[in-house]
Amino acid sequence: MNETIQSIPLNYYIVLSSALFCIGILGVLVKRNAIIMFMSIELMLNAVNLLLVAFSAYSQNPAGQTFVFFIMIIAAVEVAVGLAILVMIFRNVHSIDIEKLQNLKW
Amino acid sequence: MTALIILSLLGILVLMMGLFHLKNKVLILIIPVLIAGIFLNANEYGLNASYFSQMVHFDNFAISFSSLLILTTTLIFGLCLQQYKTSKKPVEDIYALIIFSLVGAICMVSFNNLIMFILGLEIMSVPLYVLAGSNRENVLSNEASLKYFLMGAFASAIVIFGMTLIFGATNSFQLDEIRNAVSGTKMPGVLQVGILLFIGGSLFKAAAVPFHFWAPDVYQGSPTVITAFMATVVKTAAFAGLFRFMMVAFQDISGLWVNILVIITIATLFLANFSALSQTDFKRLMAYSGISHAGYMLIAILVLNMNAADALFFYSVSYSLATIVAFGIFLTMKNATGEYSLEIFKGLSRKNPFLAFGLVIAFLSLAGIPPLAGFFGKYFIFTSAIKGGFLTVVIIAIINTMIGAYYYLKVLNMAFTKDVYHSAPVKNHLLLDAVIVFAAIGTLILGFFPGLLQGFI
Repeated sequence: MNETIQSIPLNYYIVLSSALFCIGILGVLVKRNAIIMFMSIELMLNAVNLLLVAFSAYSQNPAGQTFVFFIMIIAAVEVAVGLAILVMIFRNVHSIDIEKLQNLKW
Repeated sequence: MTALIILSLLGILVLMMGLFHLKNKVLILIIPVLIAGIFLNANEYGLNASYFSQMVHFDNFAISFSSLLILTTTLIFGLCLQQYKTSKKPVEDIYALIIFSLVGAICMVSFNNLIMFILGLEIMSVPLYVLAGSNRENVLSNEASLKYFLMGAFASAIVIFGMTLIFGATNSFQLDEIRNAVSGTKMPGVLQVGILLFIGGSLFKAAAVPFHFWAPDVYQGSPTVITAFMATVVKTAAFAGLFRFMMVAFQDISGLWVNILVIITIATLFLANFSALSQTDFKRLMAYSGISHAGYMLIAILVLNMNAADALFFYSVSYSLATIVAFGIFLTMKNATGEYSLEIFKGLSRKNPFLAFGLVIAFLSLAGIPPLAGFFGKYFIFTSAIKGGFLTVVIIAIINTMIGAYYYLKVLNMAFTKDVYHSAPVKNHLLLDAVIVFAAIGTLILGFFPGLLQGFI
């Protein structure tokens, strides 16, 4: 398994993960639909997972792969709480467009 | 460690007690257990014990800061009775979430492994996203909750990416192993980017300048006691966690990050103090005041030695006490008038001299006027910075202290004007007054005997 991962140089993994991470950042900053913002945050976390697995395989250190499980849990927790918050807002405002939420000035 | 276990159990117990509709009676259980937690925690002072295969390490730094966090939370529970007295909905879940958030904060100040840091950060933040929106029918509270959640999750992802890059460069999550590996790393560029992303994400929780924009909105929309919790416990935990990480792991390679941190510090100080000048809403004013205090606390992270750790602890204590007094008084005034603007303080000295006196102590301490605790907090931080060679930063910070004094004194000026804003009487409440008296006396004692908290760490 390690040989398969290592047949691609480490730098490629770093570039790919950074690119995915930046796409996620752009999604959060540009999109105005809360669900798409959640998905962008998920994309950022999954980019991190990919990079962690690559680092872990290259350095023969299982700590990185263990941490991937923690990140998955964190992602699940954040989505659960985030969707609950969205449902609460949808009940009051009848929209999930964050442009509609301008009562507190940014 | 005992405190961590007891608080986790307490949180679960309080959540279960929601079955019996006890409402605010659970405070009879919570407050004594928290006070016992402070003593049990302080009892471990000097033990230097590690738990969970070195995932957490309760050295003197961790013990001091976690005692402070538990004390602050106890005082905030004293304010809770006033906030939720008339609540028709159950309040046990809110109290349980505050306790869980405190558990996360304690993990954050005692971590010895980056996995523990990120778990602490999430255990602290996720309950807070819910708490910010705990006033479900209020659209402002909903909006604060969504903003805090989106920006908080975004910042957590950035912290995690930073940690991953640090792991890639040093091949470990353990703090002491990272320190041994940083100088010989094969990927210095990756390490530097990792450190900067990590600092950026942590500063989000502490609300320092490029990442401060959420603070005024979230502070304004959240229920008042939750705002007080964010302004004190979360800020202290974020700074203590960041300080611990930088001090243990990256002290030797300060050249990689110190210049950027200097720029962040100066920007934080100027932007926060100038924005605060024009605020008319009390919570927004406290948010900008909190951002400016984050700027002063950042100076301790620049210096990064044992002296600075002591100064940071003293500063956190004085800032937390004064902020709690201010929020306690604001809560009383808000309940009497139902408004949030600074105007409600007009004529306070005639209506209720006791509260006016508390306000004087709190705001003079926040402004840094001797002989109150806030002055010595700034004094210790500035002297350690001058010894560390950051004279320019200290001069800029002193200029900002003078700008800051203007908006604090403006509020005090309102409290002592002749025209009274609202004729409604301002009633005293036993528990809330006890909190105000305790915190105000603490501020005075630390002002007269600043040596009491020196050399703890």
